[in-house]
Amino acid sequence: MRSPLRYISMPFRLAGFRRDLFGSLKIRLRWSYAMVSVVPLMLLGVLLVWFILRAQRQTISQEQQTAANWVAREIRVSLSAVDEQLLKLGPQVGPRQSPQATLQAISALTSAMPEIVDVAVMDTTGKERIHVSQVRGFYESELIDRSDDELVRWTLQRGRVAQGTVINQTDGILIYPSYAPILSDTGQILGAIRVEVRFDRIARTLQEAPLLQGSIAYLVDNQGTLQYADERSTTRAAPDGLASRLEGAASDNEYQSRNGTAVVGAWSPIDVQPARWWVVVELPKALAYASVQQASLLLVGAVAFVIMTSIGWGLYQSRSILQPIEELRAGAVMIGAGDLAARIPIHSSDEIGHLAGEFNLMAERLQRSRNEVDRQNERLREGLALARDIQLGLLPSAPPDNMPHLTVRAHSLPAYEVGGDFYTYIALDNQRMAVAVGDISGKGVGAALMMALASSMVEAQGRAITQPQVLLTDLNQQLSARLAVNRMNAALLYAIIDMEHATLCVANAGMISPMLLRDGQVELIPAYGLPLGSMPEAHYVDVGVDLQTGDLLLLVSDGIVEAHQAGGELFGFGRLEQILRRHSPEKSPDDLIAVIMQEVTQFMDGSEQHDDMTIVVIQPNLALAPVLEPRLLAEEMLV
Amino acid sequence: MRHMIGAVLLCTVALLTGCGGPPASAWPAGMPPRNAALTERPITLRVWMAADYASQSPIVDLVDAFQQAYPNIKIELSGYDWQQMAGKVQLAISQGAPPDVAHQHAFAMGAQGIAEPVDDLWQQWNAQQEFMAGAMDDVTWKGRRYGVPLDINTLFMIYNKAAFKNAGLALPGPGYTYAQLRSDLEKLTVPDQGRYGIALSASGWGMYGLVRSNGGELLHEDGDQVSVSLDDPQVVETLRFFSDLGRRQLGTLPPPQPRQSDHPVVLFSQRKVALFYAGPFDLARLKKEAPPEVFAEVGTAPLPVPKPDAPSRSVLGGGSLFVPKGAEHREAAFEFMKWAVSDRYALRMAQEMGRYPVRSSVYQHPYFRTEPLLMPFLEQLKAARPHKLEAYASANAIWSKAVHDVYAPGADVDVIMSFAQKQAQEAVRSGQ
Repeated sequence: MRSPLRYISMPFRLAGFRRDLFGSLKIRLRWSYAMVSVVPLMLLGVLLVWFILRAQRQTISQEQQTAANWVAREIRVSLSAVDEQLLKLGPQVGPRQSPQATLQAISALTSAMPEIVDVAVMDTTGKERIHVSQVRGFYESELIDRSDDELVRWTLQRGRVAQGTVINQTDGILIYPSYAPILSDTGQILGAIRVEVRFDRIARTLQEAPLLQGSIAYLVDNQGTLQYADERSTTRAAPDGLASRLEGAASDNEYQSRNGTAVVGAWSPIDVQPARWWVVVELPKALAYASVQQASLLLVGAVAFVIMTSIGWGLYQSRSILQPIEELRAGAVMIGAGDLAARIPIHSSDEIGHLAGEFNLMAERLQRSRNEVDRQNERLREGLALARDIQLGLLPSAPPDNMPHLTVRAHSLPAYEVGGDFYTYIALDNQRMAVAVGDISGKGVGAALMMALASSMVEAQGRAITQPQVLLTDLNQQLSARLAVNRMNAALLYAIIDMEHATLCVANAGMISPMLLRDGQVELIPAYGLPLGSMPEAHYVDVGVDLQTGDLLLLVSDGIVEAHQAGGELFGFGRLEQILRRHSPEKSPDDLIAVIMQEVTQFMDGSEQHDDMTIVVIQPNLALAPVLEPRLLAEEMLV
Repeated sequence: MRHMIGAVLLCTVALLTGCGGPPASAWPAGMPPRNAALTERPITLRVWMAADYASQSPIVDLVDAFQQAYPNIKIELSGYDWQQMAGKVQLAISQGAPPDVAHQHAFAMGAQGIAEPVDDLWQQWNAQQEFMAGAMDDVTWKGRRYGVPLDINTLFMIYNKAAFKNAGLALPGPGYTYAQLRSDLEKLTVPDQGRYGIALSASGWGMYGLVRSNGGELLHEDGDQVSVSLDDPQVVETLRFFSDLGRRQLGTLPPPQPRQSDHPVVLFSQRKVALFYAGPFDLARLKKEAPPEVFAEVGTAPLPVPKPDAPSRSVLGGGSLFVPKGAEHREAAFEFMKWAVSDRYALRMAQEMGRYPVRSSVYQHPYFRTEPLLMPFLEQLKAARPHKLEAYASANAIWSKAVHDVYAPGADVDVIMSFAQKQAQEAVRSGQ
């Protein structure tokens, strides 16, 4: 079962899809080009093809209809000419006219209209009065009663002309009967005339009609019964369902001819009476739309060509836009990576060319600026190096050499060129030595300057004041004001090692308490106090320790225990104590310093050193020193 | 912007409301009021008019205006030869597709059973008293009205004043006799120069006018009894007079087949003849076609009379619109006829076509009072009568043939008219 949460994530997925689809400028450009160029062109092409097809279809239909109308009109004229002559004949063959006059009128008519091959004049009951054919006149005994002829009755009842269906005579000649009333001057029906008219003229009209090539024209009656078909016609019968089409039952003009060919048809009525005739013109669809198909193919090809050209042009344009942008991006990457000498090639003088030019100018200015900064930095570095040398010069390079029974080693590693840590030794006399380790809060030049001050004051005061607590208290009073101004303080541990009495007296102002390694165990000498400058009235307390053979004292700044890895883990007191415990008495204080620095460096694992690191190792050699009453001395010192 | 939108909306509303035809306030002035019954469904009105009417601006404008007033009515206007109109209409009726309006002498069409009586529509219209009596004669047959008279005319004489003056002759005027005419024609005719006195015409209608002016008559009606008198002495004398003019080459003979180049107007414009008998329409044609200097020489006079004190008589002409038998849109057809005889188009037909109004009131217009050439026409109109023989198609055809025949070389007018009389009388009697 899928999680319903998928619906919640849908917008995000869509957003991702959009990002994938439109995230790239290249893709966006191509989409844009497709939307504004290719898609409209394709739509235009489709519309054009549709319009051409529609227009051609209409044109074909109109031409077919025009042809049908033309044929119908011509046939109507032929039929009307006969009707008109028959109506004119009427008064000349009326019942009051003598047979001779009637025959003369008929003769005149057939002379004027040779297509009339048979004339019968009937009275109001439909009986023939006169009947003359092309070859002879009929005797009275041969005259017949035509009252059973539906069209004779129709003509006599309505006083209108009529046409019968086309008859194929035994001799193969086509004729159609035409009827007309005989009207008096006052419009009374006095009889009827029936003539047989050769169909030749109408047939010729159908055959010679100006039709589209491949078209055929034929004549049907209202019921769709074929009256006459052009010789070119392959079908000799009207298609099924044509009658309903003629009456407008179908909306289209495409259908199957009798022989199964799909045709486009048009029809036009001929208002003969009583059954209407229709001229039908048909053209096979294959012929009708051949030119349309060719034109469509040509148009599709042309549209495809235009679209391909357009796509090619679009790609070229997008490339011409994107390539400089890509070069611009690469240039930006190089400059971002520090290669300020990198320049972007300028290919054009358009907006992108101008942008590349501005970019190059910016890079040039950056380069000049960085060169200046580099020069400044160099000067600063040189100053700092000099300060470092001076600071290092402030630190004692070696302990006083008048105390061979006391080994003191120190190492200080500032976090920057100059640091705030310091240490110093003061040889008070042949048996006593003061050791100070300090740490000015902050780093850099400020801390270094304060360190120099503190260091020099310690050295100055140390020779006069033999009690660490007094010294620290005094220094605190002297430095508080200066430190407060700079929002700084100074940690300082001051210890006096008295080899004569084998004692250690230490006072601490904010430094890590001294660590005492004795018999493989590490003790923390409990000397505490606020850093100098924290509180002007602060008091410090001396802590006395009786030294024993093999003791080793370790003084460190907080830069050692607070050294940390990239993950933030501190080196800490534990690791320092372990190193101290592992320290073998046979090894020198230098070895201990080296081990501590090595392990701290390894622990930091390449992480940046954030604080100065200072280590001072004191190893009294009591075996060589004249030891008095150490406890007493320690107490004296404390007093 | 808001004003513009408002204006567009107003225009749209105005256009939409205008879709059903002009609003009542925009109905053309002087036209018959809107016939609401005609606005209910689409109608195609087939109008057949004489060819020399159908193409004229007043008729074309009339059709346009009618279609605008009745947007649901579409008019299909066709022009046919005047002489063939009756046959065409008869044929169309026989073929079951008659036009809705046709143009001929409605009384003759009614007599021949071609036209529908429209008495009911006349009664609704109630405007008969506005029409001239002679005009109503053109649509009335045996007391029934078969159409609406469209225009009226009569035959009078058009002559070249300069030709008469140059020949030292007095200008024709009232009381001008046939004897003077013969005498003048002899002086006006100079065959060597191709100039003849008169353009002879074989028009049956025109000859009837001349017969009347000479005191003759062709048809006599006494209730249902109708007789013809083609061999009446005045008739025969008139025909003999003109036949004699032809034989003596005092005038141009009518051509066997009508040709434009032989039309009296053309001959007169070319100064080949000094006079001819014509209707007012020929005056309009002369004004359009003749050189200005020729038209400036035109004078008009009543038809000659047998004696100076004999009354001036002539034939009444013109035409009328009628509804052929079996026409589909009888009411719409009659409405169109009412528009056609409205003052606006009657005046235009007079001024632009020389076809004169059938309503008495139109003659109050200054146009008819200030044109001296029209005075003989207007005077002659009073005593003009319709050519009633046209009601009898066969008899009229016999008369027309006889008029042609008298101009044949060696023609014996007495024999021709005697034979024609017998035939015509029989035709009238038998209804053929």
